Amino acid sequence: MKKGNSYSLIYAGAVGLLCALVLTSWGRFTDGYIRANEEAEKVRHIMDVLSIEFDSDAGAEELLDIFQKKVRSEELAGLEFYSSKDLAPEDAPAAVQFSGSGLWGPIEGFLALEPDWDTIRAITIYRQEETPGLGGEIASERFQDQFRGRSITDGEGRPGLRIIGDRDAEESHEVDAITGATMTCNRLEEMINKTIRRIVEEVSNDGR
Amino acid sequence: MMADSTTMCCGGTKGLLGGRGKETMSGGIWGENPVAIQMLGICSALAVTGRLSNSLVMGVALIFVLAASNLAVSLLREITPGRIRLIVEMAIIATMVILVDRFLRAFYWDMSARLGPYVALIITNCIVLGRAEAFALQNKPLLAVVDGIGNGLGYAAVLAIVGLSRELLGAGELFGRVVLPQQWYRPNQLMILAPGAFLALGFLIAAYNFARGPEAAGGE
Repeated sequence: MKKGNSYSLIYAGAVGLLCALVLTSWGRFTDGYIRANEEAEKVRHIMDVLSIEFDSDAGAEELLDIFQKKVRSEELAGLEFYSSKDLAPEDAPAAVQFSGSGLWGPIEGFLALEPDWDTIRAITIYRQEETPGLGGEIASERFQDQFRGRSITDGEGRPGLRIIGDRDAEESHEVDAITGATMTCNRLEEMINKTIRRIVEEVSNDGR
Repeated sequence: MMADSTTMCCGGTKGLLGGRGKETMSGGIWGENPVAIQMLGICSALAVTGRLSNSLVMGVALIFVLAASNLAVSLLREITPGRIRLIVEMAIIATMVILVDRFLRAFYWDMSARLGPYVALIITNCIVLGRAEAFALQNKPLLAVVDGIGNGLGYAAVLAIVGLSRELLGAGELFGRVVLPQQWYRPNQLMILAPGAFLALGFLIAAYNFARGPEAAGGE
């Protein structure tokens, strides 16, 4: 049988529709589970940067439960801050989210500050799609560990953290960039600083 | 495991598969192994085989995608216009891959994170489109499923062997449990890194060709 153009068109449309139907229903069914997993991933990273202990084998729902019990969140200057319920608010390190677009996709992570609102306790990145082996190294411990103890302001109290590519990091507000990942590092620096500026200008100056 | 499935598929089902079940199944696993002989699917075979568990999950994912897409392509083979068959095949394959990918993300989040983009990249795995074009388009649905399972098992077997040797030599572990204590075995980290994948796969293919004999391997 000779099949004409209109047959091909209708056939392609029908196959497309069928595939879309299958995918939509499967998507609907799995959506809740995937969201819970993503949420749990986020929560896991918040508790990690705040060094709150939790059972690392816990499932998504358990994790969200633990999080509810152990972490308080408060909004300051439009930013959501997370801290441990076991500590008094003024003594507790606080974690805040930063996000922005990386080179290939969105980057999202958390920045945890010591109670002095100036020293970085830890950073973590829980979502990134940068080049594996280059920009993707921002997710590595080796890169993230250098942020510990760094300051979010320079010597004169101006907000800003520098990720230095053309020389070694020396000052207290500097960390070393990743070779071969200049674009990723620049974008990461920009998104972290966007958050830092708001913290320095609106939160720490208010004395909280 | 392989021997079981070979006998299972052929026992008494001669009529249903036209007597070609055994030959089709063993072709995928051994004679025309997609990875070792046809050199397809090498990318993921290198990328996800750092650990045995990753290799096995990837193998199962590919078996499902291959069998399901072969089935769908074969069912539609009489009514699919030749000119748009590639697009139709791609749509079917992509659908199956997304089903698997979302399944892993919903129920095996950690595994999904460890496999990274490679589950989604099954879409571009040459084995899948290759079997659809070379086999499913010309054969009946049931036989096409057998072919899909056979080739999937062939792929999974190669990944399992590579994953096993890499995890064992590279970390001294299997399924994340220590089997070679550090006192007398010092893990060779090279095997976990990318070059280890090339080495393990290279040796495996050499062994494969040796076992099949010089003629089958294309030697003089």
